[in-house]
Amino acid sequence: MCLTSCKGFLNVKPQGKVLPETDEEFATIMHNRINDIEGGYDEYVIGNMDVISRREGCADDLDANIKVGSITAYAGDVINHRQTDYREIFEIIRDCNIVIENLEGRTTTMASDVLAAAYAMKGICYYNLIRDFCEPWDEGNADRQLGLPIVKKFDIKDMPVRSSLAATVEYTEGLLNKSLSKKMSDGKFFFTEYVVKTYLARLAFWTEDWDKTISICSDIIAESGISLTDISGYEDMIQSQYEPKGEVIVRSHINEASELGWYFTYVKGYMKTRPVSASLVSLFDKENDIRYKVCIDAKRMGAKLPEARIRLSEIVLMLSEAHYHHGEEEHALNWLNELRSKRILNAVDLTMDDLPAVRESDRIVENAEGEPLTPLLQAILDERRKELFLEGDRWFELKRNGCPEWWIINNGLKYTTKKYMYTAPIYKGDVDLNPDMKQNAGYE
Amino acid sequence: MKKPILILSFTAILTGCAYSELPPKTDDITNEYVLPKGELPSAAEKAEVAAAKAEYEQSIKK
Repeated sequence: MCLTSCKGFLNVKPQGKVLPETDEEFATIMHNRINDIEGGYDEYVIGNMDVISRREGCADDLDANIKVGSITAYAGDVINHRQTDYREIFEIIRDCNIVIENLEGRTTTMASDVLAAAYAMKGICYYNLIRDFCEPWDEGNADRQLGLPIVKKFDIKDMPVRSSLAATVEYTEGLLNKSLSKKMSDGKFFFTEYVVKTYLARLAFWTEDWDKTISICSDIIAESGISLTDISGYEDMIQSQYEPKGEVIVRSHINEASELGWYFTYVKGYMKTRPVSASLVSLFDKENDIRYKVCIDAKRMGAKLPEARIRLSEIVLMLSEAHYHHGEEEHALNWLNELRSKRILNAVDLTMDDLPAVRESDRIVENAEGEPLTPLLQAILDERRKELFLEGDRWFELKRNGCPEWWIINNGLKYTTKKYMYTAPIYKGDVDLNPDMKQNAGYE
Repeated sequence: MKKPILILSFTAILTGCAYSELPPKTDDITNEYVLPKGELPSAAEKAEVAAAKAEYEQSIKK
């Protein structure tokens, strides 16, 4: 013992590489992540009720100035939570990279399906990172806006720096298209064709590529086999505990494998402690709109089951807005009226002549391109706000349309949602470790 | 017996670690950001909140 130094004692040999080898073993990596989504545990790919609760707490569909309640008070309170999301998402990307690196080149059907899932999951992770950790898209400036580190392979020693937002978006689109090219044959790998196309549509929409948004959304509406759920099926679809019903394209928490039902009962209860804002309530035709009847109760609390899902309504709303920005107002209005006809009893079609005037007192005063709202665009945004209430969308609508600043009063003090808070901080550990990693403004 | 023990101990000391076993210290060991502080609201802001609460209470009475 006396002749052995500490150096020898600490010279623990590395365990050696222990990697999966067969297609099935790599499939297990993806199945673990998919099981998290299906069981409701995952917060980072499709998301879950917890994520929705946090996002709604940060947004203004529920009015914290009436009562803060038991959900996140405002965005400033969850800065540190959001930075750990960054780390967690890159762990999922790591898993996808391990699968991609090892399965590319294999020709079996299983390998192809697993690769399709890996590319899709990685692409969706990057989309989620773009929306949360990058500033809103600025057409004409996206080459200079900060994007994300593009991590193409798993390398524990690598310390990539941030690419531009434009490069990151291009990379993300490539991942989703790569997934589609594999033509997944087995639905148990979750990320089927129209799930991936939905995320391609969302990415195009977020980055104001209106041509692409129109093309992809039109394809989804025409070819997916899914159609808008009408009034009679709306409640069943919205309040379905596990089963994706009606126009739902994809959702998480389709079984109780995570055994988190008890926890989500609390989350649903917490979300009923902050009232719905007057500005949102005023948008509804309370007598005839099924969304008002199903989603807001007599105490003006949210009654919608806040599960993470994407529905065809969102595709229709994106298509309507894309047509608007493309100068095709008639098409925009037609799609808006199509959705309204499925939600409002005896709906009277909106026309260009009878659209309500722009409300100057509203929180959103400019559109995604930085221009003032018009009556038609306000009508589209209003319909989106009503349709996607309690689905985690409002926060990103505020971000996409000008990042308005606003305040709440909590425990006697005023807290302001500042512009910089719409963009989450990069994980501080990465910034501290790598001096070339640029942190987002406001968190230095 | 005492002499061999002393020799053994001395040898052990001499063959000790050639490098520091402790991880490098960083200036800032925390991974958390300081959260923004609240401010005192103005009278007008407090009135606005009171009005929102009153509107809500009135609306659920109907």
